[in-house]
Order: sequence, then structure tokens, then C-alpha cells
Amino acid sequence: MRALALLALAGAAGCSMSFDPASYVKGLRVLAVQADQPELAPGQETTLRLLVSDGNDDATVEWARCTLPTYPGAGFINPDCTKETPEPWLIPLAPESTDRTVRFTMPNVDPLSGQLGLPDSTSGFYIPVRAIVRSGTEKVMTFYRVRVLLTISPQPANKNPVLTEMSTIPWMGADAGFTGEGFPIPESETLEVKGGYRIGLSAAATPDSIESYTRLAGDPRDMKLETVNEVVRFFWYTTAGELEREITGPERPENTLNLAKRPPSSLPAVIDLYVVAHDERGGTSWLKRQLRVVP
Amino acid sequence: MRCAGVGGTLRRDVVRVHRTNRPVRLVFLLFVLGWSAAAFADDAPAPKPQPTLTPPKLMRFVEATPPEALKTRERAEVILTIDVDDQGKVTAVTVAQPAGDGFDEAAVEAAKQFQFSPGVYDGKPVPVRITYKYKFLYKPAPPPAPTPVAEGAPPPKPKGVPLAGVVREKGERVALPGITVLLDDGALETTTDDNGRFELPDVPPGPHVLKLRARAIQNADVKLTLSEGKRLDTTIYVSPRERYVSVVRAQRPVVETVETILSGDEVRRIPGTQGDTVKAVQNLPGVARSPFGGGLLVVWGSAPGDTRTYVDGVFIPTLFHFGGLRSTVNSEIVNSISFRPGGYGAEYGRGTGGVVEIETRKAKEKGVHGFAQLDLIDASLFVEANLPKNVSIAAGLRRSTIDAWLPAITPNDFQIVPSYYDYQLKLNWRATPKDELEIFAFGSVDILRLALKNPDPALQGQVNSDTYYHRILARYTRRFSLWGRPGQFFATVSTGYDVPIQVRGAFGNTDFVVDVRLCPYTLRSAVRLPLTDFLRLDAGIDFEGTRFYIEAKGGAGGPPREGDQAGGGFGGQNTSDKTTLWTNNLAPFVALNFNFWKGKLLISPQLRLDIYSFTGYQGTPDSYSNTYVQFQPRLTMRYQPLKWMAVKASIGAYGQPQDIVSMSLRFGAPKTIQPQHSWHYVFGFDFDPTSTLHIEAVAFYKDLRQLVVRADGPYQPILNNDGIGRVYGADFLIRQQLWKGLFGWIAYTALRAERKDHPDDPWRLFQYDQTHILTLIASYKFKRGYQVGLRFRYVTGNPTTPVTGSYFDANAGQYRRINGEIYSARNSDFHQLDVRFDKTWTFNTWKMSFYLDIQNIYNYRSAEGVTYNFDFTKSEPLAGLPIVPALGLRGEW
Repeated sequence: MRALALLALAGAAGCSMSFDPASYVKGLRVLAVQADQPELAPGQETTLRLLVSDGNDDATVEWARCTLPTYPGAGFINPDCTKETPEPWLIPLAPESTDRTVRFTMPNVDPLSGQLGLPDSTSGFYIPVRAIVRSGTEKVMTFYRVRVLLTISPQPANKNPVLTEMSTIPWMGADAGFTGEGFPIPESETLEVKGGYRIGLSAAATPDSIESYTRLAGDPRDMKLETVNEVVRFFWYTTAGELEREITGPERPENTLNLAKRPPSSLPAVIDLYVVAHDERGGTSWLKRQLRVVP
Repeated sequence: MRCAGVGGTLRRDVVRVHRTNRPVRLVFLLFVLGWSAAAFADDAPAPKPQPTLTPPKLMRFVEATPPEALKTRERAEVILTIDVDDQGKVTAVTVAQPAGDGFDEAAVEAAKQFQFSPGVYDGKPVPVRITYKYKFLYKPAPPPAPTPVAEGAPPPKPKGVPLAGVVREKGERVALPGITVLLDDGALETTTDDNGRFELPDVPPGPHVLKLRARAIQNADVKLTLSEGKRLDTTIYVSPRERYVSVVRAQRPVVETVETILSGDEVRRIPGTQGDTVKAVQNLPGVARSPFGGGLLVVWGSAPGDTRTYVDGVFIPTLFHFGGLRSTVNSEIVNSISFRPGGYGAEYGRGTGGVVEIETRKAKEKGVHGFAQLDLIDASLFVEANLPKNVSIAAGLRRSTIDAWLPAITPNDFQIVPSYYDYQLKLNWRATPKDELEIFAFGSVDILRLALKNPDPALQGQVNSDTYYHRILARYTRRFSLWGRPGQFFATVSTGYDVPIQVRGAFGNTDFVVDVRLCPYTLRSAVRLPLTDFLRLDAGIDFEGTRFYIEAKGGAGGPPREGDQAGGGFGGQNTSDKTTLWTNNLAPFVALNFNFWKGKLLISPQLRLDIYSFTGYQGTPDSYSNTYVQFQPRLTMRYQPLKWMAVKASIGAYGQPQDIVSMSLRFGAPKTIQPQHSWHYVFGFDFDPTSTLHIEAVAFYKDLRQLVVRADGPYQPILNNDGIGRVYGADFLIRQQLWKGLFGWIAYTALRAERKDHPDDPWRLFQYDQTHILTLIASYKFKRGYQVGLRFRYVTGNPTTPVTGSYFDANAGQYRRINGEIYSARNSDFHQLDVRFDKTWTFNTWKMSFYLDIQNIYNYRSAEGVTYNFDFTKSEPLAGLPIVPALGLRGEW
């Protein structure tokens, strides 16, 4: 706790505000990886797809899965899985393909034997899949962990949360040109907004996106099954403007985009807005909308 | 017959007694105890009259010769029991209620010569025992009538009058003995007594100059005028000549190979310490600099928790508030601080680092004193007093003020509200010149509230922390003489209640809770027996027992540990643990202290036997009770061939029990984790070219074994004892104690601290390895209460693990760092200049001080670490604290 206090005090004294926030998208960025089915039993298949920032149509992707388990103190991925040299524990997936999607088959693994390391806080075991995305001189390494459906699991496989809409908030839009009630930003159209103002935004997911699941928890001598509700978080991204919050949630879905900060380099301009929903067990989905910012 | 009950009082008239030229009036009171008689009832119709008792009557009173003390006390009463026989003679006198100071003996002597008429009962003389109050009252006689002057003769010189007074030190109000008092360049002369009092009995009336002279004070000349026939009593306040309270370094019973002792008053004004005596330890050789000037004590390459801190022999868990704002023990009650970086004697153990021992003081001699202080960090109040019967008491209370203004200047994104208080209450009783009892209650509370403006929605609740400790100790010390040589015995018992860590929060569905509460109970006792002129035996026991209650929740990875690369902790299965653990650690120790050639050669073989006992999870299938024994021989040697030079060396084994968090079943290791142990090798020289200049050079090597580390693979147990470490280096110290207003020191350490986490791992740097640590401190006290000090430090930057890349964790929606070789890079070097300015105004009965303490006066923002952007593609240094001025105001009496 003292370290926390010292860091907090240090933040007061010298923490830098000069870095761009993670919600500001510039250049090559991987914003999400989605599996059609985020939890698979051995032998089952799914499609993995990447959400890559626009303007990188020439991006190529190398897919592989890592067979090394992680361990406490090492983080969520075994550090050796990040090596870019050919290694016996890195098995390429569809080596002939460079697409942003790939088919993945859950290998025949026995998590309870320890070959996948220790479970996470959701009592889940995962196979890490790596995607190295290259575009021009830029490169992003991404890991997505596919959850293994245990034969003894008392619950159905996890599903991806479902985002229904990205909306404007009625009381924060008049200056930017909105009037009346808030409304969903259409997917197929570009919403025109005035530059230099703040826009209220909100995201919504279907009620059944928040699933409940059962996990082992408690005293190691006597672990018990407990049922908890998923915590779904919405991650926001924009290619211009500044978002007040980088992460919101279903209980507090509002956000604000301030077009006076980090404005587009010239107007008119089209900016991309993304919201990515994550649950705790690898479930992912996203929405993308576009705004046309005019003077 | 004996009179019972209390009857009336007969009062004597005042009798004037003259002694030479100093008349005294004595007042006598005669108490006569009443009487009671049994009433007898019978069947006779006419009852006989009750017999009556007539008490003895004082026929001849004898005046007592009053003792000298009557002049100072001015009145006294002695209650006597007097046996009067049937002749009226006094047969026995005893003191029923004494007055001391010679009054009892004087009253008895006089009473023995009293003559009474005998008591009469039923018409017959009877012996009687009475109670008699003999009262002494001091009253000077009126001046005699003027002597008639013959015609033509010169007028007689006026009669002299007494001039008396007391000499006290300005500000402190302490009475000063041994001061020469001169009247008018020596016409009359006297010296103040132990109470600071003086008297010149026959001073001619009129104007005079009283001169006070002594080495300890600045010369003082006081003009005064005496009136004819009128005594003058005065109080004179003088300024001391020495600008510090002189440090009397009594011969310490145990001589350590490497030890630095700091006196409270000397180091209170070191720049950059904000007047905190204990923080001065961080400026000594062998102590690494803590990030952001925090309070971590990293000594000779050992982890912060490996160095133990004691207050009056009792271990305390927390030395500083919030990692370094202020020490948890008020500097005002600190008499001295002893710092031993390693190679210390067998009386201390349970740590492979060093030892910091804070010794508190008793109340100042005589009177009531205290101080009140206010600055931007906290406010303090302290009071001390000497009571009758050799009892003294001191009490202090301190409360933070930083929480009043810090939230206003912290960024909008998060609010920090740290607040704290600490207290001390100490009672000393010197029952006899050889027996002393101390009772000391003290404690500290830290409360931290951290609020985020736009928290991640998964973060539930505030991250709060309340940590505190409370102690009460009782210590008995007995000094004795064994075959004509001084010996000592002491025993200290203590108990308390601690909450050293308490954090609660939740992220998503993962709670993180660490709540540790403990109740310690200790006994430390030792006897020092001077067996011969050249051999002293020290033996004793050091016992610490603790009842722990632990509640922990979170990822099975547990809290971060030294050497973690990925931040450790909060990962893995959600586990929890609630348990009670007992530790009982007993360590008998013995030391033979050989002293040859009149102290030129000191050799001390010592042995400490540490017995660690752990009991946990009782009543469950996982209950265990483990005992570990560490045999720790130690040897110290010091050879002083010349008065100004000595060679010293030591070698010793040191052990450390497992930390209690490691004993939780969450790590699957409580039954297998072993205590750590180490060997210390020390060799050095001492030079004392003058009585105030000390130069020291010491080389050291530490071998650390069985360090608790994480397993290097995904299998249980999560922790094991595979870690080893080594530390080697040298300390240099040049220290100038107070000399003509100047004091300070230069401390330099060069060291290398390394760790190896597993047998097949390469050696790596320790997290707090600092190759060079240089500290220069100088302070000079000018006249008129001005003092200026400066401190310069230069320290090698801490090791850091470089980032060689990053990856996007698509499940968590954030980037993770890819690390290079652990601790293979360093932050930039640290250097800083601090300046302090003090001004003290000394009045007769109190003092006021103002200080301005400026840290980092040239505003160099050293790099305390590195901050990265969200994907670790950009970085910039995490700047240290900027220039920080601190103002303070203090009043003391």
C-alpha cells in the first residue's frame, strides 16, 4: 500500500499527460479479436477474426498457437510465446493464409493435467492464439486466449456479448447539430456533426449478454462452486477527438467525445468510432460507426 | 494507659527564636488526644460517676534547633508520638509522620527534653501516650532599632540586606548549579547550589551589578537595586554557551563492530529530514536511497523487510508513516538512534539485514516542559514533567496536516487523502539509585483514501488502507556491583495490536483483500556479569510471540514480489484464505566479552540459538506445527593499538523466519517454506584523530541463502526457498561531531547486491542495488539563534527491466509489456541538494523556532522510473519530486 501511496504522490508530482490515450487510434492498431464461439471443447472449430484499424488494407497476418503454459508471476502469457523466431512451441495456423480471419480447431488437451498451467479467476483454461499483423513498417502482436470447454463444466459454453447500438445522448448534442431525442447512430450512414463540440455517446448490449457462470473459488483447502454474473466492459476508440472515458459498462454506458481536442487535421473529415465489448471469459463483440465532422 | 480518639487542641503562642543574626519564629502546636472511657451499667440504682482522664500538661517547652533546610522550605511539620510517665517525664519519642531534611531529628531531640505534668486518671497519675505536632516556621526577625549616633560622628553605614535568587537557563528554565555569582566585581562572591540557588547575606542597600560567570554560560551582568531593610529574591535567566545539549555518550555495555549512534538533538536539523530524527538514518553509509525519498530501509543490499527496528528493545512493524513522510515515533522523545547495518551481536536477530534501535529518553530534569509545532506535514504537542518520588512523565501527540491541502493539488483523475496520527506516553520511576522502572505506551495510525474520478467500471469500491500499531511495554533495570565491578540486569515485556496491512477492493469478479491483524507479546531480558577484570558474561533471552489473523483474497499469484517481471500478483485462480496462525520465536543468547591490555583488545565470541515455531490451521486437516532451529555463532574483534586507531572485524550467522503471508495455504507452501539465513563478514578500521572527528572504513560481504522466491514453472507449490543472494562492498564515513558550532558527515558506500532465483538461473541485480551512495551533510550554528545546513546526495540509479516490445491482450483489451533481461538497465543517477535554515528566539521562559527546509533546491527532476504509453512504444522518465519547500513553527518551554 505504501508503494501505491508513493506512486500516487509521484503521479501528483510528475506523472506525464503527454502520451495519447489508448482510445485514440492512429496508424496500425488491432482493437479486438473475436471468436464466433469463444469457448470450445476439444475438436470443435471456430473462426477467429481481427478488428484492425482502417487504412491498413494491405495488412498481413501470421497466425499461430502457443503450447507453453503460463505460471504465476509471468502474466497471462508465457513470455516465450512472444518470440518471433520459429520455435517448437509455436504452431502456425493456416500458414498459407494472411487473412484477418482464420479457422481454429481446439486441440485435444487435458487442462486438469496441468499442461495449460493454472486456471484464471474464472476457473478457465485457455489456448493462446497469436496474430502478428504487419502493415508497411508497422507491426502489432496480438494474443487471444480461446477458452477450453471442460467436459465436467456445469454450464453451457460462453457466448459473445451482443452490442445492439451506439447512440447519441440527447442533452449532449445540440451544439454539434443534434436536436431532439438521442438516437442510434446508423451503421450504414455517416452521421454529420459540427467540429469543435462535445458529443454524448452511449452503447447498449442485449440483456442476456451478461451471462452467469460457475467457478471454483474460496479456501484452497475447500474450493467451492459459486455462481457469478459476468462483468462486461465497453472499450471505446476514436480516430479523432478525445473520449472522456476509455472504458464504460452496462451500468454506466455514457461517454463523451470532445471534438475540440485532437481534432481532425482538416475539415471536413470522416472519423471512425468503435466500441468493443469484452466479458471475462474471452467473449468479444464490437460496433463501428462513422462521423463526418464539418466546420 | 493509652489515650484513644482525638480530643481538642491546645495552641501555644508564637515563640521567637533568634539564631545569630538570623531570627526565626517557631510556632508550636500541642495536640492532645481525647479519651474515651467505658461506661459500666449494673443493677445498682445509683451509678458511680465515670472516671475522667486529665491529659499531661506541658510545663517546660524546649525549642528545637531548626535545620538549614528551613530557609528554603520555610515551614515544616513533624508529628511525634510522646510517652509521658506518671512523673511527667518523657520516656520515649517516635516520629509518627516525618518531614525529612533533618526536621524529624531536631523535633525529637527537643521533645525528649520536654517536661510535663503527669496525666491523671481517676485521681491518680498515670503514664500517657500523646500525639504532638511540632511545627517549624521561618520568619526573619524585624530589623533592630537604629544605633544612636554620637554628635559629630559620621553616620553609620546602613545594615546589609540579603540578596538571594536562582539562576536558570533561558528557554529551558533549567536551574543551573555551579555558577559563580559576583557582586560588584567580586566584593562578594558565592556559587549556586545544586538547585541553582545562591545567597549573599549582607549586601549594602543601593545599586549593584551582579555578575554571573561559568564555562557553561555566556557572561551575564544584571543591574539591581536593594532597598534598606528589604530582602531581594530574584530569578536570573542566562544563555548557555554551548549551542547544543552536549551528548554524553555513556560507555555502552555492548560494543558492536559497525555502529553509528545519533543523538536526537544533534540530527534534528539535518536538511531534507523535516526535523525528523529517525530519517537521519537514511543518510548513513550502507543505507540505499528509497524511491521518492520514501521510508524503505534497504541496508547493505537486503530487502526492506529484512532490517528490523526496535523502540526500547521492542520490535515495531512500521518505522515511517506512508513510506517516509514522518517517523512513527515523535523525534522529541528520541534520545538516540543506533544503526547497525550488519555484523551485529547476538542480542538481536530474526533479520538478515540491519538493526535500527531507537532509545527514548526520560523527562528533562525538573519542572514542566513541552513544545508545540506546526508545519505543512503535521502538528505536534509534547509535554513532560518531573513528579515527586523520582517519577517523570512524558506525553506526545501528533496529527497530520498534509491531508488538509494535498487533495487540492493532486490531478483531477485521482484524489489521495493520507492522514495519520501517533502518540507516546512514558512513565519512568527511579525507585532506588539502582532500580528503575519504565512503562511506555505508544502507537501509530495511517489512513489512506484513494478515489478515482473515472474508474474502470470493473473496479468496485474505493481502494482504502488503514494500518496501525499499538504497543505497551514495561522495562525494569537493575544496576548492581559484582565483586566491585558494575553489572546490569534488565527485563522488558510488551504486548500490542497491529494491523500492518489492510487493503480491500474488487476488480470484476475478483476481490482483492489483504487484511492482516496481529497481537504480539514479547520478552527481552539480559544480564551483564563482570566475572573478572577482563571477562564479562552477557546472557539473556529474546522472545517474540505473535498471534496472526490473516484474511486474503485474490489471484493465487499473490502480491508482487521482488524479482517479478510482469507485475506479478492478481492473476490466477480466485482464492481466499482466512486463518489464524501462531508464531513463537525464542532465542537464548550468550556472549563472552574478553577485554585485554586495558581495553586495547576486545574479543567477543557469541552464540544465538533461534527457535522458530509456527502453528496454523488448527482444527482442520491442514493443521501443522513446525519448528525450526537456527544455530547462529558470531564473533567480533576489535584491536586498538593506538589511542586514535582501531582495527575491527566480525563474522556471524544470521537467520530470518518466513514472512507470514508466505505461510498462507494460498501459495500451497506453508509446510515447506524454510527460514532464510545468511553469513555476514565485516572488516574495517576506525580513526579518531581528534575527540570530535571520527573516520571509519568497513568492507563487508553477505551470503544470503534460502530466499523465498516464486517457482519457475506452473506447478505447486507457488513459492519455494530456491533463491540465494550475495552482497559485497565498502562503507566510508567521516563524521565531525559538534565542534565550534559545526557538525556533519560524509558517507559513501560502494556495493553490489545480486540474486539468483533458481539454481540454473544466472546472477541478476537486486531490485534496490545502488552501486554508489554518497551523502554530504554539514550544519553550522551561528550566534543569535541562526543555523544553516545543507545536504547533498548522489546515488546510482536503481535497476530497471527494459521493455523490448509489447503485445495486445485481446481478452483484456489492453497491451502488455515484453520484458528484456530482468534489471539489466538502470534509471538515471540521482542527485539533489537540500538546504535548511533555522532561527530560534530564546526568551526567559520559552523558545520559538522557525525553519525553512527546501528539498531539491536546484529543482533537478531525477528519474525514479519509467512511464510508458498504452502500447509501450513510447516512454519518458517518471520524474521525482520537484523543489519542495517546507515551513515550520515551533514553540517550546
